[in-house]
Amino acid sequence: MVSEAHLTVSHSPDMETQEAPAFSISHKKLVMWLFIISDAITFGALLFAYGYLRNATPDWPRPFEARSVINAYVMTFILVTSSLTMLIAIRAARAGDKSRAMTWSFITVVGGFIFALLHIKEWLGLIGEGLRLFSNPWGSNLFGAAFFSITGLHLTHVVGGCIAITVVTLGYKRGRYNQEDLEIWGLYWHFVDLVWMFVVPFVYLLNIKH
Amino acid sequence: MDSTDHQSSSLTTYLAVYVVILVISGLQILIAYENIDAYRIFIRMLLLAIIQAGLAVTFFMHMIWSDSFRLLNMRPFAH
Repeated sequence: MVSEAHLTVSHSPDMETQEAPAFSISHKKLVMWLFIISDAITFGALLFAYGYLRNATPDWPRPFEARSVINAYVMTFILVTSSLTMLIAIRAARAGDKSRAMTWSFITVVGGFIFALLHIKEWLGLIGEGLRLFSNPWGSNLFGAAFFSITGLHLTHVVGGCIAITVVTLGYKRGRYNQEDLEIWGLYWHFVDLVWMFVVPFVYLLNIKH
Repeated sequence: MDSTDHQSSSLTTYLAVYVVILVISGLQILIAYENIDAYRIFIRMLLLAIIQAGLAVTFFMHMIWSDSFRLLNMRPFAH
C-alpha cells in the first residue's frame, strides 16, 4: 500500500519549487513501458484476429516448406542474439565504457538489419510463388492479408528500432543521451524480440506444408 | 524492497536465458512436425511461446531486479 506519507514532498528549501516525481522510474522509461503495453495489445489483437480467421477458414493455406522454417529459425537466432548484444551494450554503458557500449549497440543494429533483409528475402520468395495481399495459389485469400499485416507490422518495428537505436547511440556518443536512454531502447528491442516469439509459431509453424 | 542499485543480472544469466530461448524455438519446430492434431500443436506452441516471452520479460527486460516496473512489488509510486 502506498500511503500519503510516502508521497509527501521533502521541505528542504531547494526542493520547494520542484514537484516530487510521480513514479519511482523516470518518465521516459515509464512512457516506454506504456508504449510496450499498448503495442502488446495491438499485436495481441492482430494475432487473435488471425487465429479466428485461420480457425474459421477450412481451406487455410499451409505453404511453408522446410526452407522457410529454417529461414525463420535463423531469423529468430539473429533477433535473440541482437537482444543479447543490446544487453551487453547496456552493461558496458552502465560501467561507463562508452566505446564498448557503442560497438555493441551498433552490432545490435546490424543484427536488426540482417533480420530485416532475411525477412524481405522471405517475402520476395513467397511473392514469387504467387502470394499477394488478396490472393494466393494455395487456398483462402485471407492468408496474404493476415501474413503480410502481422509480419509487416513486426518488420516495421524492427526497422524503426534499428533507426532509433542508431540515433540514440550517436546521441550517446555526443553526450546528448545517456545510458538510461540506451536502456529504454533496449526495452523496446527486447519487446520486438518477444513479439517474434509469438509470430514464428503461429504464423509460420502452424502453416507448414505436410 | 529496493533493488535499484543492484547489478540487474550477470552475463552468465543472460547467456543461459539466451540458450534456453533458442532451445525452446527449436522445440517448437519439432512440435510443428509432430503428427498430432492442430489443437494440441497450438496449445504446445502457445505454452512454449509464453515461457519464452516470460523469460525475456523477466531477465532481458529486468522485470524482477531493476526499477523497470515496480507494479510487481506493488510499488509503482515514488517513495
